[in-house]
Amino acid sequence: MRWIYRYPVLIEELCIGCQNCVKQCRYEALRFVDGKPQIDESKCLGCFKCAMNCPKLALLPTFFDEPKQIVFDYSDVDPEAIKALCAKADLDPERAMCMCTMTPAKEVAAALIKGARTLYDIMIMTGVKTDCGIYCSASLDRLLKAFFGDEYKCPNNEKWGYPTDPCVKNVSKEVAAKYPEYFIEDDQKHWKNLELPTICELF
Amino acid sequence: MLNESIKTRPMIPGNLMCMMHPTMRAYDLPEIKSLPIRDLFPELPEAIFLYGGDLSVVRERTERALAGVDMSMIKPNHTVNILCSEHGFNVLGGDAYTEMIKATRDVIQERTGCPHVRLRYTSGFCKNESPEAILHEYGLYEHFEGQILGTSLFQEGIPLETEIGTLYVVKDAFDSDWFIHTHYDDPRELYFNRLTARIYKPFTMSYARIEVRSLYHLNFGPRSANIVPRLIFEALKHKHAFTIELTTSPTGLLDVSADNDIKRLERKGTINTLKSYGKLLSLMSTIEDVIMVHDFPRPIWYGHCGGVVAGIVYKSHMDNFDLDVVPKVTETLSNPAVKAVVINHTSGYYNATLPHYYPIFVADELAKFSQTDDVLPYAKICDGLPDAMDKAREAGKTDNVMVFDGTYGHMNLSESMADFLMSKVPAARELNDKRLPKWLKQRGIDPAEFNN
Repeated sequence: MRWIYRYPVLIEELCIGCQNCVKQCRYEALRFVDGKPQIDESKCLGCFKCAMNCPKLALLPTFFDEPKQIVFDYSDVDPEAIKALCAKADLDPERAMCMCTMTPAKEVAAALIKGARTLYDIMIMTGVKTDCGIYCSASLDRLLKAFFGDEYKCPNNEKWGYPTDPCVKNVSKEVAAKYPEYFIEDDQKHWKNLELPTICELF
Repeated sequence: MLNESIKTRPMIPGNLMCMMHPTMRAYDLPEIKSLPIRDLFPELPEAIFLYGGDLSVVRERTERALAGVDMSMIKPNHTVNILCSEHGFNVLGGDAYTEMIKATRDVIQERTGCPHVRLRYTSGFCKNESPEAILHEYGLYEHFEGQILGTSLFQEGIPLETEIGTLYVVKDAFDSDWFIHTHYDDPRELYFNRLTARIYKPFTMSYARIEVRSLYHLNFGPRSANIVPRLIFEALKHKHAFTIELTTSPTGLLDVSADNDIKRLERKGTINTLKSYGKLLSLMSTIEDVIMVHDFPRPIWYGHCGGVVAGIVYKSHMDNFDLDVVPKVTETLSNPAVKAVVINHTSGYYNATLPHYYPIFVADELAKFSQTDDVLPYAKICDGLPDAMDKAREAGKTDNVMVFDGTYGHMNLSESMADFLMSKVPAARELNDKRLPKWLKQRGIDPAEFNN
């Protein structure tokens, strides 16, 4: 579940019309009209990538009268199918994969089974990756690959992500032996049993 | 001996979500006193610098450290990027880190004749971090004559081929002939770095793209993850001129260290961390009940109380120095000693896990602005900091309070907490003596080298 309390409001006199904000928006909530960004607050998911990329701090966080919520109902999705997809992605269905929204892996798996086809679809349906936008990326990538197999194509750009998937389970014996100080082989055993704590548990 | 509470550096409004100062500071509460670290452990070395002190000492130590560093690879027509990280500005009020960076730039220019020494400020660049605020606050724009660029983990990346696969770093951080890595050795995020590759960590968590930061945390365990920054460094080491770092202790700044050989510096930092922080972290392990008060303008985990960041106290129920420890998921979730959390001011983000484990009291409507959206549905918004403290004491059933407001040299805390910690010093020493031989053995450090 994602709660959204705030959206950006433009302070017109500060805006220099650079369009950085429009380029950063993932949700088509910003359009460039008459030399200034126009904000559609109904589409805004409060990630504030626009504001953080504004060189003039011209986008002011403002509270909605009532917070918005993204709640995804997946009660109609076969739990066994969810379990199988999570297993393929080496994820525990019950554990959070997003440290902002605490969305469990099973919810994202269900979104894919229920028709999500892109990262954007998953974000809109579940709210995952719509806050900090950083730390759930690798688990999302694993789920997308598990679902689409060889057909999965990473967007390969700075906005939606580059193709990178190093993982402890794939580190070779030679590399593990070369860097014993990182306990690779030991962690590979824990990985297999889904025992390794992630940032969602350690933060 | 308990003193009046120590005032830390005024808040820097570097948080896009809340550009305002808090209504009051926790150190202004009458029940908050200050306990000198050396009252707990008199054998810890005296600091050469604390917030508000004479910065010329930092400059002098920087120059001394750099005297032993080879800079002959830097030619006048080269470009040099000094890489700095947001957390450095959290340490000791940020002034020591800033002075070290400024002095480093001056020494490079003087010794090499190279005018193209630029600063690359790397941060999460998230909605709660404004590089502009920090760079202006510390006079860095002026000192670098505008040769400064804030870099973000969302910016264009460049691929690096490594022994574990392709990893992406931020292009702007490495757009130079040489780079200087500027660091600090406080053991923040010990539960992630496990003191196995502490000095390399910013190569992932400051200089890398978002995907790499994420896989560090989600595709590896807390020990094995540290191969990621190490291999990023290995892929870029042909551009590495030298590394310079603040050598710290809970008492404050001890020295500035620099080396062309990052591994040698890593070992020195590891020994210093175990020596300087080991006993205090063992003392944190003895805490039975505490109310955590956050009053710091950066992420909740990184505010210091007596040089120890809050994140470490949240995980002090585990021995994070012990590399045999792989915390079970169910064990890592919460520290049973933490009874309640008061938020007066933080930069908010990355604390959405907290309300699932602890009662959260947000001081007032203003403090609410500094919180991430995902915390607000679960937090109690109070009528000011004193009200939040009362409610936290009632919920936590304890008067023990620690304030995480950026202090070194002293801990701002309640009298009962100070009494408790003083009473536990012998137990902490015993615990530390029991744990230390294993910590050293796991890192291949000879006790004789450690005691030298």
